[in-house]
Amino acid sequence: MTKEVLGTVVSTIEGPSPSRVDFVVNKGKAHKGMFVELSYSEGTMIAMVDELIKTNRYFERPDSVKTIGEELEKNFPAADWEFLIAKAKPLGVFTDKLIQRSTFPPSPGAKVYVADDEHIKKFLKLDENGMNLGQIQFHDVLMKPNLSKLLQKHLAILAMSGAGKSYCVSVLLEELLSRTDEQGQIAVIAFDTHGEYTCFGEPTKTHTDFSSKTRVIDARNIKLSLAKIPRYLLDKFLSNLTPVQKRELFRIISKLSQEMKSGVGPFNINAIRSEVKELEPKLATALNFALDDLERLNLFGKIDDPSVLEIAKPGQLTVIDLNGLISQKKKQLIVAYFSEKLFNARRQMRVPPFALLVEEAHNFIPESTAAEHALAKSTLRTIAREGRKFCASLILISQRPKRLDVTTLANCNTNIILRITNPNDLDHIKQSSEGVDSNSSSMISSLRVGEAMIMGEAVSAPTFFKVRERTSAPSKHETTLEESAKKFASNKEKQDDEIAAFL
Amino acid sequence: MPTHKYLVNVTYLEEKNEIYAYFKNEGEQTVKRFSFFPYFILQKDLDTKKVQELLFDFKIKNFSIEQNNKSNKIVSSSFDTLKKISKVLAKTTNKKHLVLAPERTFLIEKNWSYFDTFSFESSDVFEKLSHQKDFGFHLIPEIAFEEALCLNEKQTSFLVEQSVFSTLLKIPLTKIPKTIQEKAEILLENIFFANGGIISWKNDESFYSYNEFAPFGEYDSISKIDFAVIWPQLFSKNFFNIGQESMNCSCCKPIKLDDSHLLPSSRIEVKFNESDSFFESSSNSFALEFHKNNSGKEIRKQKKREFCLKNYPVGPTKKGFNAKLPIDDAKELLDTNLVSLGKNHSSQWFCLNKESFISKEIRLLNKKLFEEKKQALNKENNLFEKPDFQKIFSSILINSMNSLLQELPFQLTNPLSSFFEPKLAKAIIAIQESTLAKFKKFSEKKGYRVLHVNRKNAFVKGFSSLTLTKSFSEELAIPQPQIASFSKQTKLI
Repeated sequence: MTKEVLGTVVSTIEGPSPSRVDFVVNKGKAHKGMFVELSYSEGTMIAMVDELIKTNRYFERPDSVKTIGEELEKNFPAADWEFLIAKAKPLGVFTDKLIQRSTFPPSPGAKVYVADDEHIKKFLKLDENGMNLGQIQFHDVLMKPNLSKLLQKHLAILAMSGAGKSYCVSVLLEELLSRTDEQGQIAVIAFDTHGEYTCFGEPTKTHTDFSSKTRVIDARNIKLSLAKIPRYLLDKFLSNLTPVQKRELFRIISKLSQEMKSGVGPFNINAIRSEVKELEPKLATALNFALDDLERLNLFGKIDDPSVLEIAKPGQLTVIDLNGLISQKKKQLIVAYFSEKLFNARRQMRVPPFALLVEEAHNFIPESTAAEHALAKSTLRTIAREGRKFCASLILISQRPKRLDVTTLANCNTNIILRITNPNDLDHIKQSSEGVDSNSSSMISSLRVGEAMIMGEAVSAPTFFKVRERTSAPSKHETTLEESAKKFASNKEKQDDEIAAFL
Repeated sequence: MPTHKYLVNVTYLEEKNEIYAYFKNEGEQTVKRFSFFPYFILQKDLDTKKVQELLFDFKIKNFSIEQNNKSNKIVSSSFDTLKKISKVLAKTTNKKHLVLAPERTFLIEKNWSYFDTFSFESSDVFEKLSHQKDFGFHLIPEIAFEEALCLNEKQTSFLVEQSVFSTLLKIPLTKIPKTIQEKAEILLENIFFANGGIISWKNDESFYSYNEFAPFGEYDSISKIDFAVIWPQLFSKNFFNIGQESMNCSCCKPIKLDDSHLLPSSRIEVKFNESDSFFESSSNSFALEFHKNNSGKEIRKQKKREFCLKNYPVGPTKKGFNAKLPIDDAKELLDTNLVSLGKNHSSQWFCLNKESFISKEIRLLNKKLFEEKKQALNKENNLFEKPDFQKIFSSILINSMNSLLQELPFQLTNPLSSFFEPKLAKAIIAIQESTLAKFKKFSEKKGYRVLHVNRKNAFVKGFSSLTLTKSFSEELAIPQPQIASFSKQTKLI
């Protein structure tokens, strides 16, 4: 079957050049973000339409358009002179074996076609066994980036609130959980600040059931082993202690840790207290206050519960539900502790390759905040920097990219960007992501809910796609203001009825 | 001629079915003859007629069954026949009847023992006296006891100790075993024989016992708290009426978890509310049993190693699944909402009405020990008085009784012992573990650190541990553990 010609390359001031090809659309429709191809002496060039302009020489001069007005179309063949000019950016050239950079322009007059689906897949390096995130817009091609390419060099999912971040993440999680042994399964650990992914752990009959592959941990029940908390974390955490007080406290903890290894077994806050008793009274009082603070967090125990080995299992999603926690410090400490331990365990090959999903990443890896308020920053930064070598991946999710640490964001080699309108955030993304130019930037702000752009390591060129429908049960948080108001009213009514019946 | 003599030897002459008892004091010796047929007490629930038929089937004839209200005895003129009868009964009933040497049987029957004092005021009067021990002449005939003590105190004291054990165990001096375990075994033989106790022949039930490894290194201000002293008291009727026949009686079935006679070895069914959780059990033996019989061994081993735990943690739990946990664990987990209570419990309890013979014997021995201590205390007024045989005997008797009593619970839980019965052993260990776990928790609450516990001692860091043990025993209403030692710097190995 012969392909239908979409358009013909035209000669303009700018091109055709190796970086810019304009063509006039002869038949059919061209869209912004569409892939096109044309054959010429170098091979088959793949380009993406990044702008469309309609021209008509009858309407070029404002004075004549205003003077002649409606008569223009009656008296002249104005409609015949309307042309659609598509501006395309060459992305690469297919030769017999290779995909090369475009280095030679096509000739004006060259025929332009809608890109072949197979060519798109090949060019974008999509993978049959990849992660089905949705469908590429204007083409019948599924957006299936390769797992390693998508995650190994970290992924950032950025969007304004309500643009479909959690939905997109849920789709990604479904894909990760649906992988078979043969395809390679990784562990996924999600720090879920709003409890949006806890639905994965609930059995369902109406949707795909992932409950057997999901473990939801209520962060309120988490216990961290005092003996295993890195000193630098505790140091930052106890920022209000004086250096002398810290020195004494760390001396006691070191001593107890040593005794633990000698066979006494793990220790708790009470054991520290019993040692603090022997210090001079003033110092002991100050340290006891600090220990009271630690105890009030209800976070420290003798052993980790759960331990990293239990939360990092191949093909398992572990959702650490931070929703029930009020203390930001406690959230920070949990994220920092588990990130550090997971990364260390991965370095020692004690846990499988994993992806660490951090919701509201700007709270944990902020660009500029005091150290005691960003306990996890240095660990997550290290994972962003060195994680690739150990197959420890980060999936950062943020609605305020501007507040996200630039270095960490820059280390996320793949970005999935949904609708963002805040100019500061857009600028920040532009600064940290190489693939975003002014054209893409304007497209990002005009994306609709559920539409996304993927760029970076996972695909050869920034590509727009529509996120597929999720098959898992929807999050309990996915409700509108109206629905919530109605539900509240009906609950209240029911409650009143019950009280009345009781009385 | 001395008016009293000591029983120094007993022999049995099978041809005449006679016991020869030798009484001695200084140069004087009297021999008394008693007609005696070896016997053992038949298990109460065995039908004597059926037993008779069974033994006839095995062509055993020279025996008789003596019946009275208290017990039934199998009596035979030949000790070998008696042993054969016991074997036949063991094979057919799976319960072994104890057969002791005729000399020991005789002493048990008469409630006599070696070196007991007997009055020989006239040929008509012959009776056992109490609290008059001066048979040093018999142990060291060549020289006076005090002189021997000066020459070789260690050897002389050893001889006295042997005679003490001979008295306590009703066996001749020459047959006193070396280890305390063997001695406790003999004491149990006497107790079981006297009460017609039966030894379980086949034990199919699995049994786990776990001892924590002691830590090593130097530690400041460590008190060694002796728990072994409280077990003998704890295992008698006022606390736990321990014994095979007093366990799970039909008259006192518990109805709620807080019933005081519910044993800590009871297993309570719970349903886990969370998956993949772990907890440290209060019972080391349960933790080991769980580890051996459940999947997830690697992860438990790993967790034990990672956090330097003393035993395997229990887990990973499975949400919605049921498990039977020791009562103390179940109570604690119910408080944390990690589990919800099930229905199908395996309760174990002891009888509140009828005292078991082990409990009774332990109580009597405790009473005797208390009296001995009281008497010894009365005699310890004069610091400059030379130690005589009576005093040395008394002090060694107290120590020996103490060590024997303290060894009894350990012997009953020793799988190598003939008196080992898994259910009873589990109950004893559970009581010990539960008490120690409570002590650990109590100490931590009071600001002390318990570095290590085993079934005999607890090593506690901190001063005023006497106050700690006192308040602990008051809180739990149990005997007070003793401070065995305290030092500013202790090296644990």
